Amino acid sequence: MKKVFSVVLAMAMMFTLMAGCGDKKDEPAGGETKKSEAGETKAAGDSKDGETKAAGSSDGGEITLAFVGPQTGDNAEYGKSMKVAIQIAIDEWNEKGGVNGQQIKLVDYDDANTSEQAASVAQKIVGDDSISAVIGHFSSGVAMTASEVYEESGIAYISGSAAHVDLTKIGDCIYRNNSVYATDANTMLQIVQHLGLKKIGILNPNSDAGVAVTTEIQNMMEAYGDKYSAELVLAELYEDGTVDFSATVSKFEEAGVDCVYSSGAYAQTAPFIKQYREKNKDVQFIMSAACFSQEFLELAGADAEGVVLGTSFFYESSDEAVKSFTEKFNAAYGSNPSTFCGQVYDATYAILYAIEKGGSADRADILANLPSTDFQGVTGKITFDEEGNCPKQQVLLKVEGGKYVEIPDVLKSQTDYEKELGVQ
Amino acid sequence: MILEQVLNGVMLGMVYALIAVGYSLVFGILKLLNMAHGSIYAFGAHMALFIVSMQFGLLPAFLFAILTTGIISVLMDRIILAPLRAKNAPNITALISVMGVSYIIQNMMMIIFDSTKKTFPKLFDFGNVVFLGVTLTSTQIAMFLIALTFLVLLTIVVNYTKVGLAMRASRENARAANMMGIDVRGIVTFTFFISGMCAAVAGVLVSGYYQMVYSTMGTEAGLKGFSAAVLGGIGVLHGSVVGGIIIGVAEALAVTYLGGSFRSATAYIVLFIVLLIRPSGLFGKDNIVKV
Amino acid sequence: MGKLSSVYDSFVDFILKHKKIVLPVFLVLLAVVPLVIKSQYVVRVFCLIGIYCILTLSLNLIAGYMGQSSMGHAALYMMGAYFSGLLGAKLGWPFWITLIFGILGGALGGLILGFATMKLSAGYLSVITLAFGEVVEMVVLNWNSVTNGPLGVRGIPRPNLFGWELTPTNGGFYWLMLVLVVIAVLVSLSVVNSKFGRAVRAIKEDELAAKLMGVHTAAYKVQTIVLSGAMAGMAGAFYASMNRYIDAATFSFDISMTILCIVIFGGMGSIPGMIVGSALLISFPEVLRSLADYRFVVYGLLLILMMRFRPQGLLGGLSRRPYKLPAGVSRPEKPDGGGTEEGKKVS
Repeated sequence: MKKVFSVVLAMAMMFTLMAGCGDKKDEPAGGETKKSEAGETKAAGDSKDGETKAAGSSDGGEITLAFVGPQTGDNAEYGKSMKVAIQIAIDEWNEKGGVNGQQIKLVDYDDANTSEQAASVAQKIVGDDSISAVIGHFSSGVAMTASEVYEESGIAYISGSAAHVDLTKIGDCIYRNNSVYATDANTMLQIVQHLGLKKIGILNPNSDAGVAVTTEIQNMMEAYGDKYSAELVLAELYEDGTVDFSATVSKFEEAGVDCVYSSGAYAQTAPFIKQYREKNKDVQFIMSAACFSQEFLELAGADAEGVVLGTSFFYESSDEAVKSFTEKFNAAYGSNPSTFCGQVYDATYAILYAIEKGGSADRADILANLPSTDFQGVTGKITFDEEGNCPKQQVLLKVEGGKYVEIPDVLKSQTDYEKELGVQ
Repeated sequence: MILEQVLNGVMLGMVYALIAVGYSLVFGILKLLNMAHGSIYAFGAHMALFIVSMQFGLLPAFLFAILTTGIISVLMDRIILAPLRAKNAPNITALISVMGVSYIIQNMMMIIFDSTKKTFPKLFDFGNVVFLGVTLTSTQIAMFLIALTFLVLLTIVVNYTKVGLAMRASRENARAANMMGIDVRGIVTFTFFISGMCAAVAGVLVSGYYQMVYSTMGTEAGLKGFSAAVLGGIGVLHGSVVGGIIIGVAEALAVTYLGGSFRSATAYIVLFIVLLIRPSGLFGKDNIVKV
Repeated sequence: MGKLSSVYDSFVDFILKHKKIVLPVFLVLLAVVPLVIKSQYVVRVFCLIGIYCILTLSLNLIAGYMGQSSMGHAALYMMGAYFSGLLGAKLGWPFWITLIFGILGGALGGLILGFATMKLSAGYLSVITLAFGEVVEMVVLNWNSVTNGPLGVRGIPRPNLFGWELTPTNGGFYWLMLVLVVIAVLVSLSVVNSKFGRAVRAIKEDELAAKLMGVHTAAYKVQTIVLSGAMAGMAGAFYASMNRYIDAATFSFDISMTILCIVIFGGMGSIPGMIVGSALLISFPEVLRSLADYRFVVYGLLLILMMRFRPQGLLGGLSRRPYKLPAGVSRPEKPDGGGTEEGKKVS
């Protein structure tokens, strides 16, 4: 009995504790932006009135957008940089008078890139009536878990980094401004043909993205059949967190590939390239947009020379909007924006345009207006297909002299390319 | 192909062995699984990176890393573990305490050095060497030789010097050693210093090998090193080396014949099988249970 | 510090004395939480705490009563989630049936683990569980045709009770969580107070002596781990249905470590300790979000201070009575209270 009692006692303590936690909830959302470390100041100021229950009201208050991403833990760098990019977009709108006369404010939450915390944070966000829409979550699996919550409660969510093939299939509230696997796969095939390579090796992470891109490439090559000149010699996977690639390198050398494609993040591809270059100076590396970042150049050093990749965002593009974004990002964060940063920046614009169009920051109104999004962003033309994906046109970049250099007019859209190849 | 992959595995195994000896040293004396060793190893690498980034060169960086890492390891013992021993607290409290230390070190590094992967200078570059028809890179060979030398030195210290004798005496029976006039307290401190030093040496060598430093580098490497130590018989130095090599070769062969996604699991399955056959590890002494 | 903990103990004693009033009051309070607290977020965090209550009670069977630690408990949790989630998502089976299979899945994991460690000395269980965790993850990641590999499992059905769909927002999951936690507590209690439980604790105190007394130590060890696995599997099935999406990365090594830390923090061998420990350590990162980066540093400090000043855990010293005596046997009166010593040993 005593035991049973102490159990109940324990539950009681838990209850009181959580009650305290519950009180806290009504205060301004926990992770409210405390000015990003980079010295970003919020044009909107810190007035707490906007927090009142005036559900995303269009009567003079503030409009609140939420960003969720890893602010701590292994992937904190991605969360922190994406937050800066979103803040830049919001500041730009606030400078020209906000949207529909209302100032915009960003609240940010940390999910440490874990599904468990992401689900709790998502619930916290949807429970806060002042928040109009959500951007963020870094990894696919984490975004998938959180998306279930957003979909259930009907709040618009745009991911700028998740690539999971099923993400946007979860429902009508889930949007993505990131290349889908088919685009990445097709880009890679175009690059191989452009460079006249014959024997392809693939090294992808054993993650949703890695496996799906590999499958997509295999399917495409099968569909193209004889019309496509190169052959896939060896497709390999690696575990998350691998740093020693010597065995993999030997395997590729044995298979005699002349190029290796990897869709992994810079943390794994850079050491792979380094270890491969020590044994073979001639092999051509083809990367994906995940490697388009300054960190990649720094980590891979001289061995990055000659690497090619396709991306939807290029920070040294001649486009005026990109130039100004890159400049502001550099001032705030101290390095050049990655593809993901460009994509969340555009996602923020997409939401704000939808608010402007509908004249309301109501969750339902945003959802009603997102499908008709159509504007020129820093990552190209932003429109959403019926599933919620944004078709991406990629550009080819090559690392020369420690910098990314654009090679124009090589990459085409998948339909154009297939037409040219004479399939379908 | 097989020979090349085995050699790749041996090189990788030396990385694990370097980390494993740190676990073994402390376990030998205190019967404590020092779960903070992985973080301390990452700490060593970051200390070296810090000095390198201030343009002081590699050798000062190396010495600084060894010194600071040794000190932090000793501090951990003096401040956190010694009071627990004085209280005769059960072993698990010490285990949890070092896990706490591990959390603190790793997250402080993440705050100070952020989560990006940073580049570390390459230690050696004298071209590739062809050995038995297999191309080995200079980093691989240098790594192997230095690790081997270091491990041999360590074995000599433990097995053939007076300090080593005192260490072994303390391991067999701390109380008796104390009565024979051995400063067991001092020996424990010394052991922690050496173990920290091993972590720093491993940290610098491995960072130079992969030319990369990051705050969570200790997690994966720590677990593999730990497994290597257990496989070889924890507390036995040469066991750690053999254990490291077995795990390294198992991983390389797994990548070759099964694919990269099977590498860690294969290493753990090998560990599992070895423990089923020899419950105390390859070179571990079987515990005789007294009735 | 000593004074502080004696104040704390007498506080607990005080509440124990008035249990007849306090007990029903708190049970009712807990049951009405979703009706009173309007924040879905708080209710969801409660559910998460409930999951960890079950997980820690599960590990407590191994750690608290058998005196062995597991560093791969997330693997059993994952097996439960995948067994239940896959049957629900791929075959469309209702939650109540997949829940049973989740429990069986966890138990299967426990069985494998139990047989593998039967002959090993205590210290190696943690190593084997670590290896087991990696192997389970490998199977999940590479067996694409069954587990969907790294793509994870999507669209896991929600439980349906006579036409009423339980969701995290209508409080259904909260009440389901309460029921499951109560089941886990009852199972733990019945283990403690049975012949089985006494045998298991005898193994902890002195395995050889227990063997000589005729206890089939190996069989008891395996049974305990199987039971522990079944409970972890139950938590997994609940998680899968609540979040509707699972992937291998969700059940990481960090989760195993969190479970172990809570067990130690709460006090090994103490059932209320598991519940208070889960409540505190799971809500901790939620409540202390403002600490941001320093969260885990504080977490580490907490563990160290705890071990230094209260190694028996929050409620570990509370069990004043070693076990329920069989009927007809009376407890000899001891002036110094023989039970407290036992309480200390539990830590």
